[in-house]
Amino acid sequence: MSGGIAPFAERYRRALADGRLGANLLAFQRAWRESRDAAFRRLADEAPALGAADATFDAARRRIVAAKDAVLADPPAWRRAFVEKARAAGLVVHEADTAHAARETILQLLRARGVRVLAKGKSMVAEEVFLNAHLEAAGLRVVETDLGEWIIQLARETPSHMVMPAIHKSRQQIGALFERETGREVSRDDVQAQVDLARAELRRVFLTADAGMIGANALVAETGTVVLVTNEGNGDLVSSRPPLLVVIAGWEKLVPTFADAAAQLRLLARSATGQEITSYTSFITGAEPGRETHLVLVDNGRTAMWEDPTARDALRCIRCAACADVCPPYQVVGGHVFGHVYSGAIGLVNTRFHHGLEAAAGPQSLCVSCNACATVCPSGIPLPRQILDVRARVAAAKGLRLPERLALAAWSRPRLFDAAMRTAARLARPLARGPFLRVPLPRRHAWRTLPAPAPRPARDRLLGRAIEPDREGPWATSGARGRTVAYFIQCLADRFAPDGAAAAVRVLAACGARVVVPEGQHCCGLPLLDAGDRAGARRLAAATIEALERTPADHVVTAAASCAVAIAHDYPRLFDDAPAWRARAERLAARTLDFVSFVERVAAPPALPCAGAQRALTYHGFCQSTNVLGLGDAGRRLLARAGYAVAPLPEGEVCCGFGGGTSAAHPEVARAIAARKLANVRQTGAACLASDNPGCLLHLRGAADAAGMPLEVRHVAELVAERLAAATDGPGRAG
Amino acid sequence: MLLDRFRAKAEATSAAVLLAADEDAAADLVLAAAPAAAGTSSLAASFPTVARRLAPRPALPDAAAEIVAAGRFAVAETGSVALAEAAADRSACWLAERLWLLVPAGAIEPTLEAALARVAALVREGAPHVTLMSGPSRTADIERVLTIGVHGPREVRVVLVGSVA
Repeated sequence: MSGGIAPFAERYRRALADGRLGANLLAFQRAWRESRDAAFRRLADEAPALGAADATFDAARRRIVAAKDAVLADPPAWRRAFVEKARAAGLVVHEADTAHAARETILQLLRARGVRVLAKGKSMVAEEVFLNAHLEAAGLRVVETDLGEWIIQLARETPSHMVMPAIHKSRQQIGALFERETGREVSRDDVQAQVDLARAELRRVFLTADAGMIGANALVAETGTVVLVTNEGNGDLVSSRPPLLVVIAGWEKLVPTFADAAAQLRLLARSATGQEITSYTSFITGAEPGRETHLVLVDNGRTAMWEDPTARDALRCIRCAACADVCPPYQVVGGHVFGHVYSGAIGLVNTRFHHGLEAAAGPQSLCVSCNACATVCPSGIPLPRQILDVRARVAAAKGLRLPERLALAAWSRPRLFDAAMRTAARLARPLARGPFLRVPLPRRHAWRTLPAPAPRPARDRLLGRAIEPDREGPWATSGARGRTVAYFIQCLADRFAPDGAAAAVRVLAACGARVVVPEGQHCCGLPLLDAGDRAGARRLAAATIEALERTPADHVVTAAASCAVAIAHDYPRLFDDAPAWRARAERLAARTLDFVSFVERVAAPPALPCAGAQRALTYHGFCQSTNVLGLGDAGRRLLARAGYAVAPLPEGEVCCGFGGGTSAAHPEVARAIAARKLANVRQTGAACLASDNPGCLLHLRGAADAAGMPLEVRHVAELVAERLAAATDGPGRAG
Repeated sequence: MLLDRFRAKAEATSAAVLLAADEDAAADLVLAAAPAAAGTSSLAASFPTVARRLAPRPALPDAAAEIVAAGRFAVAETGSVALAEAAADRSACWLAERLWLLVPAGAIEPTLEAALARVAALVREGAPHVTLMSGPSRTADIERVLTIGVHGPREVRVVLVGSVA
């Protein structure tokens, strides 16, 4: 059952054609970020004085992860415990294994009691099982009473956001919709007037409905209690006024105790809306005299999710939608595209269990793997890794597209790749102007200029060489002195941005390290991992491990932060089922660092004097440097150490939109995200943009060029090397 | 300190916080603003003097504009008041235009954990529906514009009755 959801390609097209969607969601995401961060700051500032436990995001997250994992250690036992308490209090519990069973159970229940009008509170599970369509087909009148859900019900749509279902609609659209559907005149601009109309219309429903339905935010096992949070109060009205109440919930909402529920509540409102608590937090237990209360406990793929070790952690989700609220591609296309019924990163993970792999396939390649979701997920769900797992399943089931398959096949064969790239560089020479290739691109890609392959790849200058440490110079006695560093070039930098690699090697030597550039290195395998080709990624990872193991060195360093993340974080997991390889991967991971981390944390050289007159400079931190490596502002600090003044870049750590395969598969998304980044750069007035990752540099350089924006885009290593050279040669040549 | 924190947090949720030295003072406050206010059964149980002074009525109408209920306790961390009413009175509370919540001034729990421990105790005593109410009904479902009073009360006034312990 598709619930009337259109195919992915059509949803994608429609979202891009909506002129207001991206701007609305950008404003929403920015406001969310600010209020969410402020709410957690206030918690940490205020709650300890009151004696609160778990008074920070991290502490509350640890608590809820432990509580959810306790349930996930033995779900049947916790279900039994909950159901026993709930039944003892008078709740009638029905267990529904499938979506169909859930729909039928509810339909029969309502029919048997002659229900004609059902007043519904917000429930994602009801959306998940396509309940309304089923009940309406049987002749019942179902009215959504949450304002956002009512709007999308009137518009005959599905929610585009788990917390704000109608966030994709403007007040003008909503005013017109209300007029058409209610026959009452209402302002197109006055939100209060629109809300008042909803209050009047829905009040009649509360007073006359035969039954009410709510979802659940938590199920507390120790007493069999349903926890429900709302801001509008509709949930309490539908559970107080009509004589029959039906609760629909997935069993993953179980938590052992009220103390666990307290931790969840601390996280939920702040993560969902930036509030400290919602207006109404209700605890519903059993049934009241003269009233009937039922709970339909839904599985619908949850047990299968639990049985899959790569997916199990996703059952910790508390449906706050923070993963959507930080997601750059979500901002561009919205939740009707970025997900299925469930949207945001969690939707990319859980859809295959609730709605099948086919429904999960379309949006997979929208994820740019920036890992921002993992940093705000209050349940500590490893969403980026889980998305890559789903992507691998989709690739295995459906195969990759032909151009992608061919490109990756060439990429994964070092000799073929080398020959192809050298030929390409030769053929491209007449078309190259500086770093760019002046060739017309198809319309979907016309917003960018392709990089020209460098006439001489970095490997021709560096491969197999050993660079002796500087004995003199301002950084020669840094913490890296006496260390040996094996340098990993990266395939992209090698062919398209060799100056950054050469500069990084110079800086490492200037820090007093002996630098060796091992033969046999090629690509770390990230492009294949990213495309869902795990077997191919493993082959390249194994080759990289072997190449880097052959050279004794204290550290492996690369100026391609993306490869540092792949080697240090993805490699061990790639070899989950091969213990010997996994051990080798872990040893390599432990000594691998990105360039910025190495210079800032290991070398920590003395600050150079401030450069004289400077061009205005700002810094884009590679998203994974922030979200996975935890670099914070290390990149900016390094530039400051080298004597630069760096203007702060708004949203400096938000992804640039390159996202590996995303920019090829969904150029419209990459374009919009790059435009957001460049707009932020423009605000700083910078003439030069530095970054720590070649992928970002090439992407942003091409986007700025095609937009006619005069912007120099450089690797941080190049800028540092320039200052070092100036400082070594004497102050006269600074600049 | 608890009182100040509660007041600040409750006001941040757009609730008003008033102080009354005793039940009569609380009744004066309510009646001055809302002469036709009606009380719930919890009010009669917890604040009998206030309940007696309100206009007597056999049963609560569907949508009385002003409803007065007794909160079980308040929560300093969040500015919430715990409400445990039977179904009919509950819907009157949610359908009111303005809701008055009377709470003993000494009954302020410091944290959310402490509040949930109290809720758990109420549940174990058989309370079928306990709500931590934090300000008026609100929505931001249209363009994320904060709008007060979508389904529940447009206004909440908390009256702390008695002296702070």
